[in-house]
Amino acid sequence: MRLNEIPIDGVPYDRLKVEKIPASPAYAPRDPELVPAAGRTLVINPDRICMPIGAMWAVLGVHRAIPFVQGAQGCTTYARYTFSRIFKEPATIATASFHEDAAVFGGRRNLLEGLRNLVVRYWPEVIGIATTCSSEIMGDDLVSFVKEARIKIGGEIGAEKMDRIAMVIINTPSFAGSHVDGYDRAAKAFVDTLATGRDTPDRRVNIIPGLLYPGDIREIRHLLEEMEIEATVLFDISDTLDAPLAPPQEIPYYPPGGTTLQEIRGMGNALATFALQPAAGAGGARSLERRLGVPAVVGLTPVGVDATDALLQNLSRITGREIPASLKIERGRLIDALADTFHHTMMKRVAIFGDPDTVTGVARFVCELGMTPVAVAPGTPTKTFEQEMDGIFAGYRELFLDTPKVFNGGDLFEFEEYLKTLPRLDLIIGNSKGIDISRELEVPLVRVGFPIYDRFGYQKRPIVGYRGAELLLYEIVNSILDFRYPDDRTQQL
Amino acid sequence: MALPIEALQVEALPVLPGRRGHLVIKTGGVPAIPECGSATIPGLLSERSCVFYGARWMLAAIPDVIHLVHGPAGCAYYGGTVRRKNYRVYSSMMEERDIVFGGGSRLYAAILEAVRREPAAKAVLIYATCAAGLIGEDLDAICGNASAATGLQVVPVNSPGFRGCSQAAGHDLAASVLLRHFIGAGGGQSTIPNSVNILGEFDVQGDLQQIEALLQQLGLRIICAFSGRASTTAMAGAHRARLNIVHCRRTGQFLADGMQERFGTPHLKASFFGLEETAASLRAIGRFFGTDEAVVETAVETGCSEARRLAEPFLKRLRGKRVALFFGASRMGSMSKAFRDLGMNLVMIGSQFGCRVDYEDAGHKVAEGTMILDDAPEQELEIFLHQRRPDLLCGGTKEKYMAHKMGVPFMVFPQEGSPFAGFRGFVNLAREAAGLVSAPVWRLARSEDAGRQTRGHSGRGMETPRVSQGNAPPAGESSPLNLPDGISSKNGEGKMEAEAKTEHRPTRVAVASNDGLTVDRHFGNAEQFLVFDLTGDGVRLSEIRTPAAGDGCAETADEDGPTGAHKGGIEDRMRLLSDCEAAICIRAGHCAQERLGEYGLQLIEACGGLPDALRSFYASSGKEKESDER
Repeated sequence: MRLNEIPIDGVPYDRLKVEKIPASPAYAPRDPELVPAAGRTLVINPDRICMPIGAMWAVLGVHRAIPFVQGAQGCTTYARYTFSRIFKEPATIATASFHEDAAVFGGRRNLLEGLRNLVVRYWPEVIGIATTCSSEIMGDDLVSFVKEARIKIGGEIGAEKMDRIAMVIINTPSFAGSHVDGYDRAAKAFVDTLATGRDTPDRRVNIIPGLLYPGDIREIRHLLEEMEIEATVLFDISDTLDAPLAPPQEIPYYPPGGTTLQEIRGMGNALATFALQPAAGAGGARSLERRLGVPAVVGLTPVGVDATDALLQNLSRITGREIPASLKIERGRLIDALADTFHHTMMKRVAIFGDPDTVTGVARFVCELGMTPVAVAPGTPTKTFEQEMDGIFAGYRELFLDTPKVFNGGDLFEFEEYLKTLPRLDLIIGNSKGIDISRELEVPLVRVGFPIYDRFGYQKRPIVGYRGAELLLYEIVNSILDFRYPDDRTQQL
Repeated sequence: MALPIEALQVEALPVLPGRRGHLVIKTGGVPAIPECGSATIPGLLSERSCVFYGARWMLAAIPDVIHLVHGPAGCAYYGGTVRRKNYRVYSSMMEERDIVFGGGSRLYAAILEAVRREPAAKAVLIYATCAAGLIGEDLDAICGNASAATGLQVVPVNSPGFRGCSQAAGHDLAASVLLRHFIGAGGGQSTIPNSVNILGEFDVQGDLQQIEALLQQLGLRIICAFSGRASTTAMAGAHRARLNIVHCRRTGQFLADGMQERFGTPHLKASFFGLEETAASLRAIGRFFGTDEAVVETAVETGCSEARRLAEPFLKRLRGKRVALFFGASRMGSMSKAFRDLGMNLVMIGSQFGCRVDYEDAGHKVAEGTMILDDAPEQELEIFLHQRRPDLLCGGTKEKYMAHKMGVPFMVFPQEGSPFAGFRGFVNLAREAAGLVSAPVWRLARSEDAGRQTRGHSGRGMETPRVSQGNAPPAGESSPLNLPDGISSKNGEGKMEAEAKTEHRPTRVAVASNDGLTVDRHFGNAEQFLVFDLTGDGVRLSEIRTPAAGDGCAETADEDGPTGAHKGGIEDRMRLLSDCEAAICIRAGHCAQERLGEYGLQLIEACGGLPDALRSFYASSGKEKESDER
């Protein structure tokens, strides 16, 4: 009996799973001409969301900050659903509630009234104003609107109180990029608006983590603590989107943690800015470098041994701190785990998809495991992706069983169809959107990256750093074992 | 002795002036109707969504058509998930150049490709988003051309997000699309005997099968369920049904009216949630079809008694528990009946975009004193949860995690696990509700909370260190774990004599509260004290007293108390409250506690909602009085 025939509580298994519902009961044969994404205008199963949600993600990582979305209610509500499903946390995001009048007369009234209501009801310290397709197409002049709003609200609550509330405008026209770009733009907007001076240089470093989960950010903080480096993590969602449940709460609800306004203001004084994900956050780091001369260190996503080594060496070089013995022990443990599991991971074929920097990070790591990345597909195309992949593969090409196929952009339909042409595939690494592919190809899926909405706990389990890599390694190995030896309960490894 | 605490704070929640009419309390037997159907105030965390969302809600489950979103990647991504289920959505993925030069040719090409990809599809639905709406894409023309080229019906769904006030506009829009292009497309005039359509039923977790089984007992057959089972073929024949059963008014009524107008199909409002509603619905449907009454009664009786028997162990745990409902619109009424069948007390019902009829219907079904809330922004829900502390909140996923943070168990509806409709569904509902309200996690959360309270946490700012060992009271001084709702009482024993007052004199108590909703201030730094008179009949706010500025007790001020304040303050505060029997505050310093006796004041440390604190105080002081008399 196959797994999907076993009824659970009277409901057959295949009715419980995330379904892929075609327009006809049987799958239509693929028109081969339609497979390459470059050859069609239709997009099927895109692996990306739009810009504003990336900006909202960023703002939620700031202490007592509320994103304000200048658009229709759906732009906010859908994003709140998405955050709720991924982080299992409330997401406080305000909306300008665009209706027909806004579409005709512009969003000025909504912005003035909305900011005022948000201020008097929530008293946030920072408001991150993200635009949407509608406000961008209408051409709302946000700079002057916000200026006007500040004067008006200031007249009501007092200029002094108004001065304590920072407002950051993030232009995120949805049609111009994906959530990754939205995050990048938010990083740039925050440092441009708030980190304006380099008056008292200090010994801190700035970290822009990119679209990493709370568990990853905690792991990065752990590395920094071990190195005894003080750091500003810009967009620190580790507490805000993973808050403890400890009633009674204060009203209005603000989650603990997040990057403080003061920290962001001081980013110009730092020794250097590390943008861990080139596509999400490098914009902020480069801007600090250009304007204030804070050196930018862009990449690599610290997944795996080499990339974590590189991060620690860079940190050590810039701050002058030694890499402590404790981290060397962690590295040793990871290496030990690599050696112990290598016979299970070597010569396995793996396909990777997701956000570009997650893909590059994971691809580098699976190469270290002796696996062959047969296909890599970033949901958001970047200019440097192919080049980065070449760089990673260069050292491993002779170990590869097949030549890796590198997509750049495209959609999951194309990716899936390519995987179906492969004679063999052992593992897929990607986000929850890959579950359909995994079920159909009967290949295990290791969940990594954004979004993961169909399982619990992944947002707390790091993949970065030595300890994160070890956890990811076990996830990979165990998935392979579960799949290859599903019935062998007695085998001792 | 229960305190009629609902009499207190009828104003209930502090809201923005523009929101006042949206919040009412049912009193005097008349269903109060909040203001509704208006645009949301900007800047709040509206729980409403957009037209596109509403259209997807209605149309996503139609299986044999191509769903193509003409807009940026985000809308296609979001629109793929409806009622937590993933559906395949195609997208034209508009980019910058399409915004500038128009996306018509792109959309046209995308339609042709989608049809090549899904040759078995019967029709194509094109959803317009904000971007397409604003650049003025001529959808009708493009769809017409594409229709001519493919030979399929290509139907525009003009759903830019800024239309209307909420997703309700999208429901109606989708219904009009169905009426115009799909329903009755099969031709044929004759009515099929004993056949029904169900409007506004989305087959969440097998609800439709439950309803179908019930209708089968009456010898009825479902032709089409909008849109839980609505293939194009089913819709094409839907006009031949004898009766339309409107299960959800919001999504079904528009269709029902349209079908009555066009095909003369009569409709009937019914609900299959809860025993009473299900029974009433079956009887009404039976009457319509002239079904033998004995058959209907047997179905109702066996169904009800079986469900009662199976649900009994759960009902015991639910009896008297307080529940609040926050839904989309019209489920308020039917679900409030269902929860009353469970023996629970409704304290609030609310909806995102209910209309007058929805509130009238629901208003009749709820008890006196129930709060009715229209288009509540997140913060009002937050305050409500914080203040009234229901035992269960039932609503959508967005509200779930906020409720948890406020310490309130949450039930997701439309449900996540098993069907809730019909008699069997009632058992599932009871089981789920009972499981949620008696979850051990909430006891654990409370004990942590009480433990923290004794260590001197005031919870004002999360950045302040929570545990300050220096302020921990000696062990055994208070035992908050044993008292209900984290209320700890100090100096209580020494006050027994003072409690023995005449029966009719009200008990006067001062509460350190700044917002009038919660006990939120330290005794020493409260800006004001609300003085309440408590009698057997109710609570009255007699006055608000403001002490002279300054902290009471500098040497014991905890980490967030102002420092360097003058020492005389505490005396002033004591004198100010000398006619009260007790002062309720989140915490008081040692010197305040030592001197309270001199002024005949009892000190209660509490946190959370003000009504709860008063209620607990009243309950405990009542007990003391009784024991005194004995």
